[in-house]
Amino acid sequence: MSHGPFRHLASLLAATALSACGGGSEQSAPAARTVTLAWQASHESGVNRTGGGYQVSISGQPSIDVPYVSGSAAPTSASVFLQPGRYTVSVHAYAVLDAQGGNTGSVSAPSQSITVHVR
Amino acid sequence: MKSLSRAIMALAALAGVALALLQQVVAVSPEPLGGGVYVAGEVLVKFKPVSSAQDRIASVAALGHAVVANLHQPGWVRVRVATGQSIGQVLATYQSDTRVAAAQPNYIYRNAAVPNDANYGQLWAFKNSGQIVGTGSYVPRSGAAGDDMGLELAWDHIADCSSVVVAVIDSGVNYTHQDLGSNMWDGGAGFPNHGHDFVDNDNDPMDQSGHGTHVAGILGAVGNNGTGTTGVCQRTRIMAVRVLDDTGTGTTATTMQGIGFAVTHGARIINMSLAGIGGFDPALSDAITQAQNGDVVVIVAAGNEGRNNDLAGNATFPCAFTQPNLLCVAALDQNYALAAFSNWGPTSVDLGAPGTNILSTWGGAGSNSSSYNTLDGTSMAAPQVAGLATMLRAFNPQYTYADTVSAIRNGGRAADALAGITATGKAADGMPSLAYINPPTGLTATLQ
Repeated sequence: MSHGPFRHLASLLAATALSACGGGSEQSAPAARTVTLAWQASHESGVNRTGGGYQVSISGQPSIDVPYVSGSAAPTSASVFLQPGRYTVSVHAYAVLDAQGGNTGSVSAPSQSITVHVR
Repeated sequence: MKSLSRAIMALAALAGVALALLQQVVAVSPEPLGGGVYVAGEVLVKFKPVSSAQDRIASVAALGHAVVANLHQPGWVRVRVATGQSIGQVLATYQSDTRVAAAQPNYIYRNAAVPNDANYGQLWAFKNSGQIVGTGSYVPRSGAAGDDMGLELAWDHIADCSSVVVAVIDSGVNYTHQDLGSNMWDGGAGFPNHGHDFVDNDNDPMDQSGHGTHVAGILGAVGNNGTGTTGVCQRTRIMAVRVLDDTGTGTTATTMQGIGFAVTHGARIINMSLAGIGGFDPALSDAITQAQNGDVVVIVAAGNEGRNNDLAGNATFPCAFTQPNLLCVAALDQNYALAAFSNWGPTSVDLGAPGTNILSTWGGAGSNSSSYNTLDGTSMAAPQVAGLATMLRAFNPQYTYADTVSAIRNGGRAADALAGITATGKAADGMPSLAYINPPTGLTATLQ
């Protein structure tokens, strides 16, 4: 009875070997890929100055902040490692100014979303 | 069993590595900043006397921040915080530091936003306090406080639109008026009188009726000069284009020429407080398209027949044209009800703006350089929006016509009286339009 787990592991190894031989080529699990997301620069002054920037939303993932750092415009791309799967991606722009004239910030509606299929 | 456990642990470790990799490129999204108007990315910190200058710099640097100025008050320094950090969190961190006596935002102070123009208190469109407009003839002469374009908030951020040329295509402009003279477009030697006259075909677009001067003052009378009124833009560059004669009448031909002149000579905004009911006008439509191709926003009046502009036979033009660079404006009274005379249209009329008991500069027969008049009409509502468009393009120099139109339409304030009878159901609103952010475009993904 105590040999049960070892038998299971042996079967697993055998199945893996069989699969490798039978396919004629090496099979490996799909790896995470780097995905570079890019978008057009915003025409909004507030997005392209301190406190402004973009927020990238990827389904099932934490959002990515792409803040303005320096120069004439906030960055317009971001890279992320994603496991194989299908993701819905969109981008919001944000700025410091709010609709009451204060500094609590405003966020745009999302860009048109795209689907990214990582294989 | 142990092998299987090790395999599972190895998989878990790999997953952990993958997660760690993911976390390396994923930053925490920013939290909204707290209330008040202050400098983004900066705080002021007061260190206790026991701390040396070196201690202060080290304390700040340890947080990834930098001392950018000693404020010449005991202990106070100005600190630049790390990009993307919440000011609220930064302040909390400093306030919990035993070496720090106080920490606060670097508040912004400005000149008082309320202009000092003598008759500013009558300009309910900009600040409706429920005041009675004594010179007005439209009833009601007073309305609900807050039913206005909220410009005092917007002027905190921009009152000078002089980077943008706005064309008034109308009966001309009294360019010698005390509240307009310094806000007129500089046409150089070719156009020494700030524009062109397509009625008399000369370079003197002096207003012979007063209508164009009134329109010009609404969008751009000199503000904060202690005199008369102010425009939506307190500083701007008004191009006078005369296409209506002294009876207020023009033609397709003069109006087309006026649009062509404005587009060719650098106007980014055109106001046309005029309307015709002669049916679809292909030539004038072509001129609006020329403006679109030149990245020019065109603001027009809905007309004053008090009817639905969308019904067959009722359509007024240019309001009923469908080019995306065109906004058509209905008139609101001091209670933000649709003015009795104003046309409307669920499709053709985009939004509303103040258009009754509007005090502004005046010209024409019997006027002088200090004349003012109070008028009603969608002609008075359109330049409120044209002024806002000018302000938006000055605030956002990279704005296209599409960005500008979008910010005005989306930044408008919902008005019950306009629901269902205009395309947006909204009234033009300064500050929300200024704060509006158009969504990003052109998103793409590339797998490495």
